[in-house]
Amino acid sequence: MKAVRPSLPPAPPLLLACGLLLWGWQNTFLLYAIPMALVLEGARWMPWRWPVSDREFNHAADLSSVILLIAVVYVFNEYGAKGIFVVLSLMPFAVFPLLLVQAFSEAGHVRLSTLFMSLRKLDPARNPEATLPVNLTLPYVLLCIVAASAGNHTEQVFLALVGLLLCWILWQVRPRRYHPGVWLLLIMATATLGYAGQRGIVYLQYQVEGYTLEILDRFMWRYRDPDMATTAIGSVGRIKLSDRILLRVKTAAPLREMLLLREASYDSYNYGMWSNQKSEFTAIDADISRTSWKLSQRSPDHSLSISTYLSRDTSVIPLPHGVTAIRKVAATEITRNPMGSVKMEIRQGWVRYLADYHSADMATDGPPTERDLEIPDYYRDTFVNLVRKLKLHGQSPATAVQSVRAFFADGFTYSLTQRHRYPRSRYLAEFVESNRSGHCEFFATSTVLLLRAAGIPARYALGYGIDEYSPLEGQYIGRARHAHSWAMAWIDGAWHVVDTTPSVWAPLEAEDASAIQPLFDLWSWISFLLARTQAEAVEEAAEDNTYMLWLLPPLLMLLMWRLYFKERVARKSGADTDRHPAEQPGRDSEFFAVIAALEGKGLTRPAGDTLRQWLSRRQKHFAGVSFAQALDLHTRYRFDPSGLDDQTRRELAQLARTLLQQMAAVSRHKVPT
Amino acid sequence: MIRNLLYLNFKILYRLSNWLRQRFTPTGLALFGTLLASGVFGINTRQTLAYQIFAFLAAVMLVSLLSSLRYNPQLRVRRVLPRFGTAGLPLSYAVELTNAGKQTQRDLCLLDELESSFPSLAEFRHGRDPEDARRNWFDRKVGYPRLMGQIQQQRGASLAPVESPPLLPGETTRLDLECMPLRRGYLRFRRMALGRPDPFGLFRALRGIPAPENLLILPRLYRAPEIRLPGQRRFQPGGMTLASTVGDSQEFLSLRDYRPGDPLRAIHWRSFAKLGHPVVKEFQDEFFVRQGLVLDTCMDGDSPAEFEAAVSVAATLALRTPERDALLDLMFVGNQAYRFTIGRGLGQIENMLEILACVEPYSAGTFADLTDLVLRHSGETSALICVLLNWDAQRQLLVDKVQRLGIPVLALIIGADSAGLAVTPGPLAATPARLVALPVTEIQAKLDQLTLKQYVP
Repeated sequence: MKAVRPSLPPAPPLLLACGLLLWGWQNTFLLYAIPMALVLEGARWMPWRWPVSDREFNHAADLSSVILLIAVVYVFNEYGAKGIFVVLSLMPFAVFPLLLVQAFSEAGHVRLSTLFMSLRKLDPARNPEATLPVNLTLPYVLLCIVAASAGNHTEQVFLALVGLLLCWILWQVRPRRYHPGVWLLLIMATATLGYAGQRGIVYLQYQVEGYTLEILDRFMWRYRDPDMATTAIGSVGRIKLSDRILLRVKTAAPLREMLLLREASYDSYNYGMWSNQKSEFTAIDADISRTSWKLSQRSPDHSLSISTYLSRDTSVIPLPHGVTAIRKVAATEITRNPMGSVKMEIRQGWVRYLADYHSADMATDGPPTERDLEIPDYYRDTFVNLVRKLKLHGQSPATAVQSVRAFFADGFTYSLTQRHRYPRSRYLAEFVESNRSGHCEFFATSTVLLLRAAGIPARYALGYGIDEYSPLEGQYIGRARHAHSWAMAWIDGAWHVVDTTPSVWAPLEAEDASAIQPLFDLWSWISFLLARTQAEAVEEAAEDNTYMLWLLPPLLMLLMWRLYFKERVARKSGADTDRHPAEQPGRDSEFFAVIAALEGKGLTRPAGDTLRQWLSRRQKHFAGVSFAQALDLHTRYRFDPSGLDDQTRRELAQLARTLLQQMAAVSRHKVPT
Repeated sequence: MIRNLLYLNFKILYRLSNWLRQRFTPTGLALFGTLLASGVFGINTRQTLAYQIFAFLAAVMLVSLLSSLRYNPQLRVRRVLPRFGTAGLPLSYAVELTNAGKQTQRDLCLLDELESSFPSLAEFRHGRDPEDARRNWFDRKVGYPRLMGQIQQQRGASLAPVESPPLLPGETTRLDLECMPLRRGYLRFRRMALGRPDPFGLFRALRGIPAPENLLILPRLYRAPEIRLPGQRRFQPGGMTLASTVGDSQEFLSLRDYRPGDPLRAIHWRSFAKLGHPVVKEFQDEFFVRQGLVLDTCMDGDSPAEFEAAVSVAATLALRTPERDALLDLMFVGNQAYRFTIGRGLGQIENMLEILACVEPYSAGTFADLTDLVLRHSGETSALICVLLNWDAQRQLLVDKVQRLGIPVLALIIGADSAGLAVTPGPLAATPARLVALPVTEIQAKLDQLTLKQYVP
């Protein structure tokens, strides 16, 4: 009996259509999914088939690849990294041409090499797997199911539908050795396990996120991205924020109301994420002292000192809305983008600067663009209806803003906890239409979209709400949990703050504060003082440009130490060989005088000649004079470790003197050449 | 560094991939792939609902896995192998599967396994694969397909799992399996694994039954004419002791007086009785044709394709050359110098093919070793066919020396082209027809052109 090689079974009738319809419904592609399903399922009942060669199958697969590639490029360009989910939702479109060719081909399947270009050129004899027949219908159903999940729509029904489709597949491929009852029992156990599992995954993610954010908040400093901000809209559970002090603000007079310090503004909203398309930073000219930057021509009426921790060399800094100038900071550069974010280039750590501002809560950002009026399609109806309900269209911008404030002040409550889960395109609709409870991101985002629906350009601003005074420090402090968001509306040629979040948000968030928080605050204050002491020393030095002097003492000390060390090394290494000449035995030999006398007569010793060789050569110039005995004693005196006794020493001296006399006598008669 | 890292990763990947292929049914693999994809896309539960697919499929896989924990089938297997296979030709064999239990066995899957080892790091780094030329840049650079090719080549063949029909208690079924031997040498079967799918039909419970067996795969053979080289009969020392029967030749020559050392059985007892002193029978010395087939195993550089072609050509000629009354000596050098003789009942062609199936390239010495071997036996050789991998000075020297001894030579140069050989015919300048170029891609065509007439003097 010829054995059968196991292969992928085809999808049972109508399963393909069901998979396509699920995908179309979830991704709002139903209009396309229905004809696609009809065509593919209709092939079962249509008698027409075409002879499709392997080459043509390859072309169909290549066409699918090209479609997918174009989609990937376009989508990633449009949506950035999040585009991967859009690509996922488009996958059934891309693979459809190949499925169509397979469905109407005489073969009814493709070769494995059709799907993998790398297998196409290989020798089929050596690589039999390249020619394996593959029926693509079942993988296509599975692809449709995964692609359907990208729609993130109708969460409750999705699991049931997916479960049904998968059970259908499992029923088709079940081995006949088991009784159907066993299969049914196991599939029920599986469904229960699957349901519990998916609830567990959601719970796990919330737990992990919560702990991660808490850890990040507590142990790491935040960096504000001026081009993108992710909100917690869509998070279920309670938002946890730490009490870590991130800001210290000193004002001339006590604050009468909450002070909003803005870090960044954004103009585009999509599925819980605010972003800016392009935000180029341009440098602001400093004054001649290089410690002051003018941001606006308006005259300030207030000034405050802000201390903040910068985790990078170039970071976004919080500033009041009507900021006109930044002073008293030794920054390398300060830049600003049209959305009002200001970046400071300075060393990392605690930085203090003075901010002059006008208290009118008006920002001098760039004028509004078309993006400041955009509303995501999935929220358009909600907010347009709300505008109609609030009759905002006939009102002036200032009046409309008042109406919006009044709307959010009536019946809305502040809450850090979200208990319900909706499709991701429904959270704000649910917020404004039914549950009316959320944290500042709900209020700010809804306000922006509502103002835009009313025709008023609006932006989303992120920063801190400062109103907690620290008696210990004698200044206001901004904690991580004081992070706040609000809306900005373009009214009468300027951006005005529209903060619709109920003012109870700060006290409510303070309820979560730990009992030992004062201890942490004290530690934070001490750390801050230490850090500032060092920073101020550097800053002051930088201001008078004499900081190089501070380098002198340590450099001098280093130099002295090096000199001392070097000397010690030299002394140690030369202790035996480089002693003072007077201390060396034999240096006081009288024979040196003889040598000097000879050299004085122009008989210089050539390099390389030993003393003995040289003297023996010069002997001929001094007839009757013998250098040999004196040289022997001289050599012994210099190099014999036991030296010379007194008598011999005197003998050497005597011989030297005699030699000198003899040489003098000879010289009188003959001058050697 | 990167190659080392890749090697380690590929090792893990290969083992994982083997495990997946053995354990999962095709549908199981498809669902496992979906599980992974949904896991990737569902990592953020707020972004997509893929986590629900992941959870459901994970539950399915878990139940499948748990259902496959206990499996102890009462089955017996026996492999029925042919005597030989041939490289490059489909090999069919059978497996007899007997149900020794009391229950009917359905949906069984049989996986026959060959011994294989993972290439070493050095083999991975320096290994070549003829298929590389057909691969794209990425595959060539990364090297995973090449590594798989090396494993497949070393294993010798790929065996796919097969499904068995329902098997009643006590029933035996015969499954016909087919594979494609990729190389000559032995296929070493290790064990057979019987797989039983879980109730969902996704995961297999496996039970391995050791069944070690070897199957010799002969070199690939070509069509070739019978080659007759002009050669005289040569004196064969030892005479027919080399042949099938032990003893001297039966060709009686004369009687002569006994000399010390003559065997007792050679004494002609009647003459001994008649003459009174021992007389012995003298037999005629043996003279017969003895052709030599020289296989060049000294592979220069890295040309395994040419070496394989040379072995195949030698095997082809071994099949076609011997005459009934002639001997054929296969000579090559491997771990030592080999000379294997067939013909006149002395050895079977199958034995020679078996040797050729296992011959390896010689890298421990030089071509001079082969020259020594051939010259050592030149006195007994009538004619010589040399299958050479090159036509350099050393090879030409061998042919020259042999020709000077009066032995006709036919030289087949694997991988050479005719035009190149025409320029440097060397010692065969006088008989250019005996110098044949066999390009690797045209071996069959060139062998078809060899005619009997060409080599008759």
